[in-house]
Amino acid sequence: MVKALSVDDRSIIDHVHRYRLTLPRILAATEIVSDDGEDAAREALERLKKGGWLRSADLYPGHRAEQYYHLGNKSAKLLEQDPIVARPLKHDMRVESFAVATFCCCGDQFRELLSKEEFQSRFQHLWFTGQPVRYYLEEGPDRVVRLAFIKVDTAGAGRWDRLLESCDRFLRQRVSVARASVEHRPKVQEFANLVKQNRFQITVLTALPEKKRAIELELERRVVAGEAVPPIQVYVVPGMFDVLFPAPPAE
Amino acid sequence: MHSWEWLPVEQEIVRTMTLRVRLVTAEQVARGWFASSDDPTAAAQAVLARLEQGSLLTRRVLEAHPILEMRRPLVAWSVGSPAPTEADWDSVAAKARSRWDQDHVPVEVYSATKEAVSVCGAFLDSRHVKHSESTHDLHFTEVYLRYRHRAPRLAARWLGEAAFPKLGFEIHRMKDPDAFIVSTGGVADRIVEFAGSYDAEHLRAFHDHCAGGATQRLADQGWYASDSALARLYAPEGTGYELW
Repeated sequence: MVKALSVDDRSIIDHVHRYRLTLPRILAATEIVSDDGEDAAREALERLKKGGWLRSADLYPGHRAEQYYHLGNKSAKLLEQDPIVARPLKHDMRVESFAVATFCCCGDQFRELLSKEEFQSRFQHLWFTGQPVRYYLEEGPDRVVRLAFIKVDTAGAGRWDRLLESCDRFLRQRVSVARASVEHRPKVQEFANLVKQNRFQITVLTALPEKKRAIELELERRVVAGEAVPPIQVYVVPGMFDVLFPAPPAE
Repeated sequence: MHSWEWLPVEQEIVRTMTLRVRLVTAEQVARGWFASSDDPTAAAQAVLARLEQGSLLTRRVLEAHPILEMRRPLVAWSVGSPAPTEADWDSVAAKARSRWDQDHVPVEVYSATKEAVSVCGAFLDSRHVKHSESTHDLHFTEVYLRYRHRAPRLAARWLGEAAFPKLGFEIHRMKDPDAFIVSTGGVADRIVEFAGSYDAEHLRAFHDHCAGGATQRLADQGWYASDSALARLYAPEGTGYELW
């Protein structure tokens, strides 16, 4: 039973708050417990769960063997969050959070998702209320560090190219100075400058290499057709297909 | 292997149904993937039931011509060979048409769900297959299964029409062939088309497309000025094809 939170325990809770969920393998890939491996990460998560700080639920509904951890009531209160964050995540949020956490913590480079407070403080010139906050900093192969916004491809039943239209809409809303209200105009101008300087990208997280290829083909088609093409980079998230479409449990 | 993971054969069937072919019957799955099982039919039905339960495949009944055995293509042309003559096309068209001499019958078919189409990035939605297209699509699957059985290395490089944006929407008179056998460099080594009952003019137009017409249209539209993978698909000297 956890009586008082150690520094490491508090770091784990902050990690879960940042990514909305974690798994032992995701936590083990971070600096928090990186030297101790997946078993130690699992042990720490279970300890915090027993203490009421974290809760767990099926990552793949119907398959009890793999649980993800999310905030519990005690940690929601500690972080002054709405108690709703202590509920199990709904399908789309579970998929999106898994994809973001896996991409950020287990990828070829560690990418720390910026919390709303961090984004507000570091990018005050871009911040305005009501916008979704899922930003991080991406160092490209050209060594340029770009502000990146993450979009997760949840493979819904609609036309998948709407994902690209949504990226295009996202960008237009942030760079169309003439369309912005007078109050927002300076922030929109700042964002437009960032895009113009090639210091912004939309990171699309998808489940399969086939989809990455298709998105890239579609972007190429749009370039030739003279259509709007947002600065998109596509990444495949290992394990995301199974979270989207788990195999049916054995009867 | 974890309980939530799909078997490799199940993953392959989903990829096949989204990016290679559009329709399949349980009998085709049994023959194509489970021929060496003790009970191919039961094995196929079990896998198809799981994929349906997992929202990756959907099942329905369509009317189609009974499936014919696909032994050899009607025409196989390679770059550098002489073009077929008008008389050749008339003869091929007559042969293509004469194949369909039986009444259509109801057949239970499987196709990819919209979710499977989306997750694999297919450019066509097979849920819209019509009764009138089912004969073409099931026989095209037969051709793919023949490749899979007899030329598995070529079958592994098979990309169906759904794996590419539809250029027919972009470029006037551009065709979108049923499948490409694509090299690692992204160039099509061969185009595969199921001719159904194409007339001589349709067959000739298809030949012209493969024998340099596609390249010309892409060049006219400025595609070669881009580094698009779609422009790389058609070799400048033309692409060999099989018309089944």
